[in-house]
Amino acid sequence: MEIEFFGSPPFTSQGVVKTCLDYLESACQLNIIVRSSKLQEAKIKQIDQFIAELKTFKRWAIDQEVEQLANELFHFQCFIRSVQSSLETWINIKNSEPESAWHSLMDANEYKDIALRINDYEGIRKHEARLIDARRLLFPENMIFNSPAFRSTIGDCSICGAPFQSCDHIEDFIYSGRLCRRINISIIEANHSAIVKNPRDPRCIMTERSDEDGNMINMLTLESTGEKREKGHKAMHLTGILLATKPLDFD
Amino acid sequence: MKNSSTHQNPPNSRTRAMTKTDSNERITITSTTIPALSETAAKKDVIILPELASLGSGRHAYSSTSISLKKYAEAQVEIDFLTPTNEIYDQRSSAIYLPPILFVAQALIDNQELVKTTLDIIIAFLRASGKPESAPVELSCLVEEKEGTRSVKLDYKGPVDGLSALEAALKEAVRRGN
Repeated sequence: MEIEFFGSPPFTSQGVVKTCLDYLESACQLNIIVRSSKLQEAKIKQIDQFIAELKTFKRWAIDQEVEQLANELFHFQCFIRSVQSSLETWINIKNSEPESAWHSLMDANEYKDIALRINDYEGIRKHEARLIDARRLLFPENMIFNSPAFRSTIGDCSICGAPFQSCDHIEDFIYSGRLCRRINISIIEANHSAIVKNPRDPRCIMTERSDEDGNMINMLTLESTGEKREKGHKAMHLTGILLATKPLDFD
Repeated sequence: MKNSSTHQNPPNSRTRAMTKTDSNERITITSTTIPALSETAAKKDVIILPELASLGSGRHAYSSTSISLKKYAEAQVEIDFLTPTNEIYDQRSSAIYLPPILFVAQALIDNQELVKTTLDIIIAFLRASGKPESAPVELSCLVEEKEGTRSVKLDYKGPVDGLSALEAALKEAVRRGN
């Protein structure tokens, strides 16, 4: 693989970390809504390439059992992914795609939370404050969410690939630069869904509701969707997301 | 899928007493029947139970946190599932649903510190897995009053750090129950 961002060998831990910090700074310069969409979109694509290179160093650190460096690189991976998702939020807002913007913002939050578990300092707290402000300024204050309950298979371990019940890894623990999750899960039976203010996954939003005439209204834009449902007695039709399945990059 | 804003109550339980500590924390004490433990399970200290509502169904559903909790705890206490499991029950609200845990009568006699040790392990598990401190935790602790018959059940809902107060509440409930 050609190294584009990290210079030429010999590589040092300090040099790799400094490259990550410099790259983060360049990405953060674009992490403001008024910046050029063209530059933001280019940065979103470039971040994928940067993370791919970062992961070659992380894999080296994992192979060499240098856990501290692996975790530090995982911190940058998550922080930079959070900035990438934040850039996507601005693009989605500018393209009048508020639901996608909400999802991007929630991705940015989740990446930031994992990054914060590894390193906590002023720079990432400033980024966190910006995400909180974005949530407050861009989206309705009182959103409602779905909180589903279901039976599922146990799935496999994202760290070792073994059936999750048979390995030693623990869900949501960080192991040498990777977050342990259960993957390859199949839902066996949906049980119920509660409507809540505080969901586990804030991507599970209610997206549409009916008005008194049965017209479906987008709950973010308040525009009519053009769909009409049967009028109910003192009842409302609701459409929402029960389960968001887009995987985030925690490997 | 039906919409609901409440969670199911286990069958065969009756409320014995309720103590309310503050607005965010709730402890409920009940008496309930417990499943017969297999010979192997009876030799353990702590048994991870399926969701109590599923106990009588013949199709046990274990909380999504149960497997990780067992992995985390088994280096420090003798812990096992009531029955083997191939599926789990996932409730995706902001609350953290821990599996109901049963303290085996003989183990409590042998180790006076078992409840405290187990609760400390659970607190450490939640913190190490990065669960937000603000998320409410739900946990039911059952203590065998007599082997294989009834048990005292303590239902807790509140912050992570409130879990450490459960030892005293459980001891008091067991004392009053006897």
